[in-house]
Amino acid sequence: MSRRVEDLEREALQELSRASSERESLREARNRYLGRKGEVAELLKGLGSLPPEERKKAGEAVNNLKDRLEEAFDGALSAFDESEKRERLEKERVDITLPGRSIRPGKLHPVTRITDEIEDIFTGLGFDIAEGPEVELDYYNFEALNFPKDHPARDMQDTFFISDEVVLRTHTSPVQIRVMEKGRPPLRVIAPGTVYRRDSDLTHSPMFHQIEGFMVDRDISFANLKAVLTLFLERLFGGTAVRFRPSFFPFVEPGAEVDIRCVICGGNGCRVCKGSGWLEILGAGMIHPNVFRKVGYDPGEYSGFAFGLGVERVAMLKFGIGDLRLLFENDMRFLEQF
Amino acid sequence: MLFSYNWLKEYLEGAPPARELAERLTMTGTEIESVVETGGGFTNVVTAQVVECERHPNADKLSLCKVRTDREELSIVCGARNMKPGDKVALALPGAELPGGFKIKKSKIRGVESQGMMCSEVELGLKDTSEGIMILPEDAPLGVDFRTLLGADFMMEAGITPNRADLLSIRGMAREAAAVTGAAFKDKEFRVEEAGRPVGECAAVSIEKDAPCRRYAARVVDGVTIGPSPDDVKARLEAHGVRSINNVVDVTNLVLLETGQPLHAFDLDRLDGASVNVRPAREGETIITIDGKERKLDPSMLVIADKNGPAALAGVMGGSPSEVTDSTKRVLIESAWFEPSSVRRTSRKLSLSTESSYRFERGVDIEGVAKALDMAASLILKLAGGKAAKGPIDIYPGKAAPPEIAFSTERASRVLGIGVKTEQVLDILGRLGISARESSPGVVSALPPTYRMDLTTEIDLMEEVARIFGYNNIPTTLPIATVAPGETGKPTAFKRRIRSLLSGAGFTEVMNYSFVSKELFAMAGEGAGVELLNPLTEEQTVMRADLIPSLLENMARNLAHKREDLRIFELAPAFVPGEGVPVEKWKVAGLLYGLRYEPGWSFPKDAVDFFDTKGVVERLLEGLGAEGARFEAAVHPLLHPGKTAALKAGGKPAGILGELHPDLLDRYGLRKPAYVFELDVEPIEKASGKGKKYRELPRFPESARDIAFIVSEGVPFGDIMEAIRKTDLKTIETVELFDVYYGRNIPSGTRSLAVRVTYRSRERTLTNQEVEETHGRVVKTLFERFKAEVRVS
Repeated sequence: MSRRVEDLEREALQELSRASSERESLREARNRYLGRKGEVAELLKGLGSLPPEERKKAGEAVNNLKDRLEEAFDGALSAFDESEKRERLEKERVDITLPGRSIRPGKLHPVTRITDEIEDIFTGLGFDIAEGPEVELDYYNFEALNFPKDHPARDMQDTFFISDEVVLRTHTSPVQIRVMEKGRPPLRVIAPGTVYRRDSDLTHSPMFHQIEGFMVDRDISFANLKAVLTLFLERLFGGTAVRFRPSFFPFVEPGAEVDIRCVICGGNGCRVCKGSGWLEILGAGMIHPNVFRKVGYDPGEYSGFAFGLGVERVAMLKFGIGDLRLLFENDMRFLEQF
Repeated sequence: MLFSYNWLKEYLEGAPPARELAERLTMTGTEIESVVETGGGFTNVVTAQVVECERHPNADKLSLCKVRTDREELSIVCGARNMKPGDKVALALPGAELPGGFKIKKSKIRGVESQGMMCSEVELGLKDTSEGIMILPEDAPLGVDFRTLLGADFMMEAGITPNRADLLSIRGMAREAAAVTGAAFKDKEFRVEEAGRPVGECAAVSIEKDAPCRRYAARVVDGVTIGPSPDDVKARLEAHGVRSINNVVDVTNLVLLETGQPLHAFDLDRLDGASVNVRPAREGETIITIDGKERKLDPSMLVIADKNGPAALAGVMGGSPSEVTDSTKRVLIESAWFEPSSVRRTSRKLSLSTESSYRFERGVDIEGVAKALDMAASLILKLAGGKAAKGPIDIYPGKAAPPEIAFSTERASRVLGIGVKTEQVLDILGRLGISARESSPGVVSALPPTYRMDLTTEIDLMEEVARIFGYNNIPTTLPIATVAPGETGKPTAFKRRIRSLLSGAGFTEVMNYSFVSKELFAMAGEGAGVELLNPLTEEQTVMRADLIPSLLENMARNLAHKREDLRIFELAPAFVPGEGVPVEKWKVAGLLYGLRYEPGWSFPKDAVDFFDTKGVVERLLEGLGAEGARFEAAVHPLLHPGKTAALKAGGKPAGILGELHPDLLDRYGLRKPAYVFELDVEPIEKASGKGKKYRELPRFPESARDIAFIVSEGVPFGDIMEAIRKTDLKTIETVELFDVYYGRNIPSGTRSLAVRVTYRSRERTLTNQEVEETHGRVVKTLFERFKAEVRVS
C-alpha cells in the first residue's frame, strides 16, 4: 500500500510539473488525482479491502498524500491566478500624472474670507453679529455719534449724499446706535458691512468694508479694550506686537489708534509702513458719554468700548496684495487665487 | 500740518532730537506722518581749513593736505586740485555718513593715511554736478557741524485731528511738545513801538449786534513801503507751502503759521470812510475776493464791510479792492475771533476753504488775538517800515469765563482701568497748562486754558490723563462678562450659507460698486433710481437696483483677456426709492458663460445652457431649505423671451433666471449665449424657515414603472409631472424624467417624454394589482388631459 502511495505521489507531481504551464491541464490533472472519482479516492475506497490492523496506518498515509497533493495543486493553481491577475492589473495601469478631474469649487472674495475670519474670532469671544442699512439717515451716521452739524469733524469722512438728511453710511458705526436703541446692556456686538466715502485714488476706494465692534456693560474699562483688541489682533495676525496711540473720533473718548508691527518688514521699516515699522489697523476708544445719552443709557451707570477696522486693509496685508483697486476689478486671474 | 523743527525750537528749551520728538508726539496723539531732513542728508561733516597742500609722495594725481578743525590737525589725501592753503572746506570725519550710505573711515591711500575726506557739493548731495571740492565762505567758523551752517532742518508733517485746533501753529505745537517731552516752553514777547497818531484818529471798527464775532482787534501802520520780504522770511514761508506775496502780506501769513491766528491786512486808504463794520451780508450783496472771483453773498455770511459794502469775507478771504498792493501806504491789520460754525457755513456755501477758514472753523484762541496782532505790527514795522498808530483797537464783547471741570479720580480709575492718583492728575494737568487743584478728596477742579477749546467735560480730561500717562502703560485686562456664545445673526448666517453653496457649485464671488452709471442702471428696465447728489464720476451716479448689469461688465472685462469660461456670483443689496429712506433688498445674482465643465482633457466640451442655470438655482434653493419654490415662464428686458423663468418662493416673486437676450450678445461681443440668475434673498429666506426633520426610512419595497409618451411641445412638463403626482399622492413616491426626444420618427410639433414613476406605500407592500391599477390611472390621465400618445407603459 505504501508503495502505491509513493508511486501515485511521484506520478502526480510529475504530471503537475508538466501541466503547470496551462491552467486547463492543471485542473484536469488535479481532477484525475483529487477528484471525486480520482486516483486518491480510488485508493481510499481500496482501504476497505485491507486487513483491519493495516487499515488505520494506510488510511493515514493516503490522507496525508491527499493533503500534500491538494497543497501542491492548489498552490500551482493560485500561482496561476496571481500571475494572471498581475498581468490584468498591469494592463489597467493609468498615467497618474494626468490632472485629476473634479468640478472645481468657486472662490470667495478675499474681503469675504477676511470678514468671515474676523467674525469667527469675535463670535468665539461671545460677540453677536448684527447688520445695518448702507443708506443711512444723517442722524445715525453722524448726529447720534457726536458729530454735530457744521462741525469740522465731519470733514474726516467725505460723504455721498442722497438728500440733505440721507447719506451713504461712511462707517459701520451707525449700527452701534441702532443696536443700542433696540437692546439693553450687556452688549457684545460686531457689525460687518459696506461703507462709502467720496474719495478715490490709489489707496482709497469710494466703497469699502468695515467691521465695527462694541461692548457695553457696567465697568468696562480702557484696559478691557486693550485686552480684547490685543487678543483679537494676535489671533488675526498670529502673535504680533500691538501698540495703542491716542487719537480722535467724535464718538469715543479716550480715543485710540491701534498699530501692529509691520507684517511686511517685521518692524525694520519699509515702503508699506512708511519706514515706521508699524501699521495702523484699528480705530477704537471708550464710547463717548454723549453717544450713551443719545440712546438713553446713563453714562454714569454704563461704560463701553467701540472699535472699527477696514477689511480691505487687512486683506491686503494678509494676502500681500499691493494694489487696492484689484479688489474691485473682479479679474478672475486675481479672484481665483484665494 | 507741515512744520519746521528749527522754528519749533525757537519756542523750546531742551527739545529732544527731531526724530525722538516725532516719536513722542505720535505716541501722545499728534501723529507725525513724516520727518524729512532738509539741507543735509549727511552726518559728521564739519567745517575746516586747509593748512598746507603737497603732492602725494606716491601718486602724481593726488594731493596730501594738512587740514585743521577747531581742535586738531588732520592729514587728508585728496584727488581735487581746486583748494589752496587758507581755504575753508567741508570735512567728513571718520564715521561720517554721506548721502547714498557712503561711510568715511581712516584708510591708507597709496601708502599714506587719510584721516577723512574733503567733500564736493555732489558728495554732500547738495548739487547734481560740481568741480572739485566745495570751498566755503572765508568767514565760516571752524569745527562747526556743517548742517547747521547749511541751515539743515527737519520738516515734519503732522496729522492734526479736528479736536486739536490749538496745534495748528508752531507755537501751539511747541506747547504740546513741551508738555509731552518735559522740555521748557519759552514764549516770545513782542512790543509795538507806537510812534504814530492815536489809532482812533486813523480808523474805526464796529461789530453789529449779535454778529457771530466775539472779538475784533486792529492796528494801523502808516507809511509802509511795500516790497519783497527778506530771503529768510520767503524761505520759511515757502518751506511751509505758502507763496511769498509782499512784506506786509507775508507778515500776516508768518504770524498765522506761528501763532495760528489768521490775520488780514487792509489797505486803509481803500476802505471807504476808513472804517469797518462786522455784519451779516445783505441780501444781493457781492464781493470780489482776492482770487479775482465775484461771489454772491447772503445774510448767513459774515462780512467786514466799509461804507461802500463788503470788503472781506470774515475769516475766509479778503476782498480785492482793499487788498495790499505795491502802492499801499497805510495798512489796517485785523486780528479777530469769528464763530467757527459761521465761518464753516460761509466757507462751505462758497466752496472756498483757506488756511484762515480752516483754523477759524476749528477754533482760534480768543485770548491770543491781541498778542498775534502785536507780533504782526512789530514785524511790519521791521520789514516795511512806517509808524504804528498809538494803541490797538480791541472790541471784545464776547469775553467769557470758561467753567471749571470737576474730575473724579475714582471715575477715572473705573473708565481707564488703572488706579488714578490725585498727585498724578495734578501733575499731568499742570504740564498741559490746565490749572488744577484738589477741591475735595479724590476730586480735582480743573480750568483748561482758553486755547484748549476741546476740553469741556470730565471725559476730555480723562483722555488727557490717559494719553500723557501713556496708553501703552495701561494694562490689558480681559473684561469679566457673562458667559454666552456669540450669535451669528440670522441674516448673516443665511448669506454665508448662500455664498458657501454657490462657491461649492463652482461660482467665484465678485464685488462691484453699489453705484453705477445711468446707462447701466437703465439696462434692466428700472424707472427712477436712488441717485447721489454728489457723485464722484458719471460711472458712479445711481445706486443699482439690479446686480446682473454689473456681472455683465465683469464678464466683458474677463473676456477681454481671453477668459472664456465663467461662473461668477455676487451677493449685495439693491436699492429702491422708498419713503424718505431708500429700501435695501439683498439679492444674489450669478452668471454662467462658456463650457459646462472646466476645459481639460477629460470632460465633454459642452456649453452651458438654460438648464445648467436652472439646476444651479434649484440646488441653491434645496441647500437653503427653501420650500414651495416654483418656476414660471416669464419675460424680462435683459433675457431671451423664450428662455426666461420667474421664481416664486412661498407664493412671492423671488427672482428670475434665463438666457441673456440675443440683442445683448453683440454689445458684449459674445460668441455663445450667457446665462444669468438674480434672486431676492428675503422671500427665499422666509420660505426656508422650517428646520430639517427626519423622515422614517421606507420599510416596504418600491415598485417602478416606466412610461414613454408623445405629447404636444406646447404642454409644459411641469404640468404633466404635477398631474401624474396628483393621481395618487399616497402611493406615488417619485416621478423622474429620464428622456426627452424631438425629431425623427415622431410628428413635428410633438416631443417624446419618458418618465419613471415609483410606487410605494408607507404602510404595507403594494400588490402588483394595486400598482397596475394606479399606473393605469396615470396613463389615462396622460391621455385624457394632455392628449398624450402612450408608447410604452
